[in-house]
Amino acid sequence: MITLKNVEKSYKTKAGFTYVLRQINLEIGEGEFITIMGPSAAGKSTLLNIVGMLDHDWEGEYTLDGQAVHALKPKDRQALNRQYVGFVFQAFNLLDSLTVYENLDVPLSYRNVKTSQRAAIVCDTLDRFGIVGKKDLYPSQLSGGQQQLVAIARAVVASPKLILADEPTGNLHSTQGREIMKLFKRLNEEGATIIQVTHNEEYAAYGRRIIQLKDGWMDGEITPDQLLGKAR
Amino acid sequence: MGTLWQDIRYGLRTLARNPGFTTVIVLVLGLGIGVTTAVFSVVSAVLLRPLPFPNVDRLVMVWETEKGRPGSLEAIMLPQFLDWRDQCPDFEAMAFFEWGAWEETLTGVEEPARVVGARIDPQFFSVLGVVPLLGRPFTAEEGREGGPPVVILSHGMWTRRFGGDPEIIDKTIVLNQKPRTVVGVMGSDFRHIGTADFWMPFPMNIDSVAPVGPGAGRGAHGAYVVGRLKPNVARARAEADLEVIAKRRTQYPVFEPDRGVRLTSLHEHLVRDSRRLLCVFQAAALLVLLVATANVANLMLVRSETRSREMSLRAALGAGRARIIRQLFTESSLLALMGGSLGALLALWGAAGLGKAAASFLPRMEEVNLDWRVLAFTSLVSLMSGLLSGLAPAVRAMRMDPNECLKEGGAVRGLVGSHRNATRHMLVIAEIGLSLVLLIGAGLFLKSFVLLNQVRLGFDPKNVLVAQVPGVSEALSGPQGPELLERLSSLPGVQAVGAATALPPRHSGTQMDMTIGEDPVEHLVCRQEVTPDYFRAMGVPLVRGRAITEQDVEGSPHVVVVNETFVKRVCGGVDPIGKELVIHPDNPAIPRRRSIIVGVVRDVANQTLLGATEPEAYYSYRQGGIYADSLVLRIGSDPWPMVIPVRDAIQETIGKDHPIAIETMRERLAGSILPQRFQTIIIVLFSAIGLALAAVGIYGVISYSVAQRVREFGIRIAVGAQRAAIMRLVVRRALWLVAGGLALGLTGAVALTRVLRTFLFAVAPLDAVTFATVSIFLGSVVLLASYLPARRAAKVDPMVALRYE
Repeated sequence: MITLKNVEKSYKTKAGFTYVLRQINLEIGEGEFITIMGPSAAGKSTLLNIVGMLDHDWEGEYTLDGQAVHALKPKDRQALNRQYVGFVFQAFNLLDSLTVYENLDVPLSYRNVKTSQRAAIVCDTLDRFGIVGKKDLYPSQLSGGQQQLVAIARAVVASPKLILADEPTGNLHSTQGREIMKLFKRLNEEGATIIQVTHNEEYAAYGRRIIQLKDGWMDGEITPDQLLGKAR
Repeated sequence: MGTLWQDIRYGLRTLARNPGFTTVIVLVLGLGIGVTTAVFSVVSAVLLRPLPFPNVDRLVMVWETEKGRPGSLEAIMLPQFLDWRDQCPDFEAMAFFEWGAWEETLTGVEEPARVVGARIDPQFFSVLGVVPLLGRPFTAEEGREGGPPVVILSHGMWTRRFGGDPEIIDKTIVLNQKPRTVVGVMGSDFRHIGTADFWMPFPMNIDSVAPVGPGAGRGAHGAYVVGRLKPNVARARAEADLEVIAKRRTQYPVFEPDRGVRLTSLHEHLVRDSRRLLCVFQAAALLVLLVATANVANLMLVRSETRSREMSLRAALGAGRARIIRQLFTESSLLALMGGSLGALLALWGAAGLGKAAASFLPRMEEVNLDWRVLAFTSLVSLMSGLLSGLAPAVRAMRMDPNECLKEGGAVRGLVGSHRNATRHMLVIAEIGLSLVLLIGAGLFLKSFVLLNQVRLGFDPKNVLVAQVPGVSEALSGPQGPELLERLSSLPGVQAVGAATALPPRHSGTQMDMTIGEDPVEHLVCRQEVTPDYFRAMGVPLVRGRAITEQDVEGSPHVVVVNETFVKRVCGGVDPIGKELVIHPDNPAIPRRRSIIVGVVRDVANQTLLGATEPEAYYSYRQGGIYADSLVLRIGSDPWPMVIPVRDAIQETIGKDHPIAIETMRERLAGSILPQRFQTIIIVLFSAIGLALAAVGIYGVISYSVAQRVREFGIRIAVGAQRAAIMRLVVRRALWLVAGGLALGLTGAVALTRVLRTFLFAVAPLDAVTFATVSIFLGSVVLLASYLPARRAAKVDPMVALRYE
């Protein structure tokens, strides 16, 4: 589904070019659950943003489902983003002034889904995530776990093939974190391709492959068992 | 006191640390206060400052009124004045004077000059309670017909024309070629009621109780009467006594039963035509100030939000709410003080400009300055602006939850409730609304002025020169007349030369009662005399019959040409040619004059461009004389190169002692609507300032709102929003503000524009086209002001925006 070839990202500074990502080569198949790990400033979020087509300023080749993203104009990349990608952020990033229902409605409205269809999809998603009772509440009236639940619901509401989660459990306590990871696992089993970034080894093990980044370079790839074994 | 001083010092330091913010606020406030103060300096000079006469509250103007026509004020018949002066016990003294300016030519000095005089009763100065700086007032003897020719000079004329000669008294000067002895010079602080460079006695023949001079007559309402009431005499009592005396008259002219007497204060009479206009100007200026204040309040509010953490820290360190609020008010007052100082400087310049620009049509303009009254007003409006602009941040400070503000990211979340934007939005709505009221006012004035310039003149003003030559009547009436006209007509390029009693658009022809043939119904018709080529020189089309010709001289049958309105109103649309027009003089002793109507000409906007045309009758200047001070010349092409040849030709024919002023007819027309032009410029200027402030205001608010919502836009883009959707989001908010502002402004305009009715020409105060056009214009400007922030919002990089967290 995703092929990255020699993807690089750098910033021009007074001292020259500072690289954030170097020669990233990666293949991700449809229906995979991938974890990206690495220390701070390793380039994890940057890689996720490139895959999610939020970042257009990079070099190399990126193919998504047979389409050469690197050859697309930013506007077309945005259209591809709408078609394929759902984002989950560490800080939830819900819209404070909108209710839970409206937060879920927003991505559909940007995809020009008809109003009647939108209502059905939102209600279905609320039901699927067990948050029907919260639909009229504002984000500030929810706990952190509930907010992330809504954020994940928002990420999947438009049925994306690819879910990108940037430290989705970073702001949650362990019980809430595990619930969220179980939810990702279920979504993956239902067919979604998931790429998550996390520091937590327990949650990282939910992925079938763990890509390790260091200083912008790929520092190897391990399995969950290898990760947990190493942890022990 | 110590803590207050500390607040001031801290406030000054804070303002100095933010020079950009401070400069913008001071400029905006300075502009608002400057405009308001400049207008107030005029209001103060004209309306509020008492006239510089002792016991001015006892000085009154005396008028005849027509019962059933409230507000009608007419000048007095001279015999009536004499009755009152001699019989009424309520006055210390009464005097009459001529209201209009009396232009004469000053010769015997380096350069002949036209000077403006006023003819007065010898008692005039003593009624006002003033004495000349040099010399003495007129004596009763000098006021009689045949009395010694004397003159009193104004301070201005004395210094300008005679270099302030201290020996001027008893010297002889030449006015209209007649020597007059200077008996006095008025002080620099004396202001005539009206305009005057000199005064001379109104020559009155006591025996026949009739003034001598053109247009004089016992029954003419030509005397303006000023009186000084005795102490403790009420105006109502004096009015009743004067009416009783008037009704005792049995001789001509009698006081008609439907007439009454009215007294007005001298000051009120001088300013009554200006009061409403000045009130409109002051209201417009206050609207500008309110827009400026709302703008400043918004900026202060935005700034206070960025200072939430600082204020919370102060609270955490023990400052009570009152102390924090006082700190905020101290800062806003300091800004208002600086803005007020700048405003006073701007007003100094603005007031001088206003005084100069309006000198020809507003009274007391030479008295406009920034006196203590104006400076007190400036201080007051500065203080009020400071308090008003500091109010919103203070209220915000009262509602702030310091604990929340001190938390991470609490700067914008520390407010109790979710209405932190509501105040800012309300202020912007107020700005848009106030600006709309100003703009609609400007739109109405502008439309009115445009229509005024499109008035059907009834003549062709293109390539017409008007030469004002005081005393030209005498030449025209004498043997030099035909020679002068002939000489000017023969100049190369001159197509026609004419003269008339009065030229448009400032007609002063005499209204007289006239009848047609044997029909006894009297009609009020404007009469004037013209030379044969007058209509051709003016380009007035002949509709029927013939014009006045060279053959229409004394001895031949008297003829008259009338206008279209005459045909419509007097003849009921029936062709009047061949009918007899009879003038019925007011005084039965004067014989009636009969003339045959020989032609009909197009209506000419003689009276004023503003009013309707009246029935008019044009007589031959050689069948009754002419009183004219101007000649009109139609030139074949550009009239300017002809100015010098025309001047030379006139001076060579009638002598060099005639100061000649030459202008084009177009200039003359523009001059006649100078007050309307002034009103329009002032209101348009004020509304432009209001519009600019409102646009800056909405730009600031939308920009700030975009800055606040960067994270939100980042999220929206991350979840799939296109750039256009983000722009729509921003512009939609601006649209709400525009809608609110327009609703407020339209409501205000509907309520307020009624007062403009008297200033508008052919435009209704609720003119729908103006309301709609101005609303669309303002809406577009405001939306344009929100476009830049909207574009910025659409360019938000979601990665950067989300990294904020």
